[in-house]
Amino acid sequence: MVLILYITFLLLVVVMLFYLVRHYVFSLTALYYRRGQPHFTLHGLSYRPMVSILIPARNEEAVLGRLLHRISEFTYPKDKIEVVVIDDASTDSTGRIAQEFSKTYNYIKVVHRGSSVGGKGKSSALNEALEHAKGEILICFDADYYPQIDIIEKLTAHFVDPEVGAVQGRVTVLNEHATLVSRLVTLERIGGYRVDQLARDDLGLIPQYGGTVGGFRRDLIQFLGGWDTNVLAEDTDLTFRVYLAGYKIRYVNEAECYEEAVENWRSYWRQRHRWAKGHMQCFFKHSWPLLKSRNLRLREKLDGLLLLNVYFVPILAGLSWLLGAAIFFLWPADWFESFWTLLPVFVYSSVGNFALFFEVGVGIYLDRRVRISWLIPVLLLSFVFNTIICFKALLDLAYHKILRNNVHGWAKTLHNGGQPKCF
Amino acid sequence: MFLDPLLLTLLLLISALFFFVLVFLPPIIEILKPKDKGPRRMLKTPLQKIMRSSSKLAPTSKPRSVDNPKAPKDLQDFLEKVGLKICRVGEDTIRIFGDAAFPPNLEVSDNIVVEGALTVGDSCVFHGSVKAKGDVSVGNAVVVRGNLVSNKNVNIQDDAVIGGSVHAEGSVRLGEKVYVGLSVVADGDVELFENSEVKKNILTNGVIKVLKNPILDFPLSIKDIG
Repeated sequence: MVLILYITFLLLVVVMLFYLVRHYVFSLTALYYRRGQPHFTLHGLSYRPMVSILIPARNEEAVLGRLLHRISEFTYPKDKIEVVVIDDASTDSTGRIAQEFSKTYNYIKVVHRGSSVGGKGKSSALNEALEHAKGEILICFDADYYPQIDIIEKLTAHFVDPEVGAVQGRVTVLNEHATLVSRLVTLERIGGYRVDQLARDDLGLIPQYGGTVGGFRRDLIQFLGGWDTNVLAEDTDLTFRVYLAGYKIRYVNEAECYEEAVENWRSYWRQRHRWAKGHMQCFFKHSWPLLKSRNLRLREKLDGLLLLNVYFVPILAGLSWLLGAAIFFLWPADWFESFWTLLPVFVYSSVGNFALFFEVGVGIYLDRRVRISWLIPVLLLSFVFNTIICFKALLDLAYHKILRNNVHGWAKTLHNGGQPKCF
Repeated sequence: MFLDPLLLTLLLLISALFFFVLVFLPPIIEILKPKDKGPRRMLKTPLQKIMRSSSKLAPTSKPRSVDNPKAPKDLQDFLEKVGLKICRVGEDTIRIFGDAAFPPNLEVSDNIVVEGALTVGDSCVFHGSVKAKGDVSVGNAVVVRGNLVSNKNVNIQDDAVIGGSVHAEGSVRLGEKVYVGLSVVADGDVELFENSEVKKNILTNGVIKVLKNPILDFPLSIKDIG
C-alpha cells in the first residue's frame, strides 16, 4: 500500500516536472528562436479572399457598437468583407445597435435569434452564423474585442498555405488598470500568448485556437460539421478537430486585438470554471483519437496531450502536495527526504496552470514593459483560485456524467464597455 | 553553541517577515500606486507602414483557363498506383509522404501537400494550391490556380501560370513568360526573366535579379567562356 503511494507520488512529480521542462523550452524559444512569421504576413498585401466576420452577441449593448465602428475602419477592402452579427436572444438593445449599423454599412448583416432558439451558448450562435456567412475565410470576434485595423490582412495571409486550416491572433487586455483581477488576467494573457502560443507555433506543435481573434477556412468548418454545442470550450474542441483532420493552426503574434478582461473574482470564477469544464470535456473527447491519429507527428501528439491535460495540472499538483505531506509524516523513509516533499510544492508554484512565473516574466520582457512585473508574486492568488475552480469543474463533470446529462449551462461573461486611458 | 528557543523563534519570524516583504512589497506598491503604462499599445507593424506608403492594389487576377482532357480523373488512385504513400486531409487536400514526381499532363483538383521535394511535369494543371516541404521544380506550361508554397527553393519553368502567390523560404526562379497572379515572397533571391509577369509585389530578403535573355546569361559553348 505504502509502495503504491510512493509510486503514485513519484509519477505525479514526474508529470509536474514534464510541464516545468515544457514551459522552460517555450520561454527559451520565445526569447531566442523565431521562424519568419512577418514573412508570411506580407502576403496580406496581395492575398485577399472573401472574409466573413462572425460576431456572436448576447446582451452586448455596452461593447458591440465599439467593435462594429472599428470594423468600419478596417483597411481590408470592404467589398471583400461581410460581417454577420448574431443577436443571440438579447434582452437589451444589442439587436437594435447592430441593425442601426447594418443600415449605414451594407456589408453588415444581422441575424436575430428569438428566445426559443437563442441563448444556448456561443457554439449554437456560431452554427447559425455559419449558415448565413458566404466568405471563403471565417473570422470570429467576441463583441467586447477591439482589433487592429489591418488584422484581417495579417490573419488571412497564412491561408496562402494550403496546410493551414485556422489562424489565431494575439489577445491583449484593454481594461488592464480596472482592478487587480484584470491586471492578473493581463499577466496570464502575456504569458499565454506572447510566450506560450508563439513558442508552440515556432516549434511546430499545436498552437491553440482561442475562440476569438482567429479564423478558419469555411470549407474546413463545414467539413467538420460546425461547432459542437455540447462542449463548453468550443475553441479547444475545434483546435483538436482541425489537427485530427490533418490541418495546422498558425499563431500570428502580429495580429493583435484588445479584449475586455473580467474585473472581479466572481466573473473570473464563472469564466474559468466554464473553460476548465470545457477543457476537461475535450480531454475525454480527444485524447484517444489524438494518440491514434495518423495526421499528427509524435511531438504534436505529446504537446496535444499536455495541452488537453492542462486544467488537470492544478488538481494533480494539489494531490501530489497532499500525498507528499502524508508520506513524509506517516511513512517516512530514509530516501524520502524533505526535498521530495517540497518538490511538488516548488513545481506547483513555478508551473501553476496557465500563468507561469518565468513565462510571464519573459513575456513582459519581450513586450518591453517593466513595472507590471512587480505584480508577478500576486499570481499565487490566481493559482490557488484556479486549483479550487478545477476541482469544482471536475466534480461537476463527474456529476453530469453520472446523471448522463450532456447539457452544460453556458455562463456568460458580462462586459461593461469601460474606456481605458489610452482611448 | 545553541540558540535560545525564543531567540530562534524570533529569528525565524523575522526571516519570514523579511521574505514576505521582499516578495510582496513590490506588488503592494504597484497595486496601491500603479506606475505601469499599460495597456500596451498595439504594434504598428511593417504591414501597416507598407500599406500607407504603397499605391492602390489591383484586384485579384484570375489565371488563364486551361483544360486538359488527357488527365487522369482520380488522382488518389493514380498516386497509390505509382507507389506514393498518401493520406487525405479534410475534404479537398491530399498529403503525400516523401518526395513526389508528377508526370506531364496531370490534372489535379485537390490541394496538394508534399512532405518532401516535388517535381511537376510539363502541362500539369492544379485547380487548388500546392505546398512542398522540400524543393519545388515546376515544368513548362504548368498551371496552379491557387498558391505555390515551399519550405525550400522554387524553380518554375517557362510559360507556367500561378494564379495565387509563390511563397518560398529559399530562393525563387521564374522562367520565361511565367505569370504570377499575386505576389512572390521569398527569403532567398528571386530570379526572373523580363518577359515574366508578377501581378502584385515581389518581397524578398535576398536579391531580385531580372534576366534579359537566356542566351546572354548562359554560355553557349566553350568559346563563349573564352
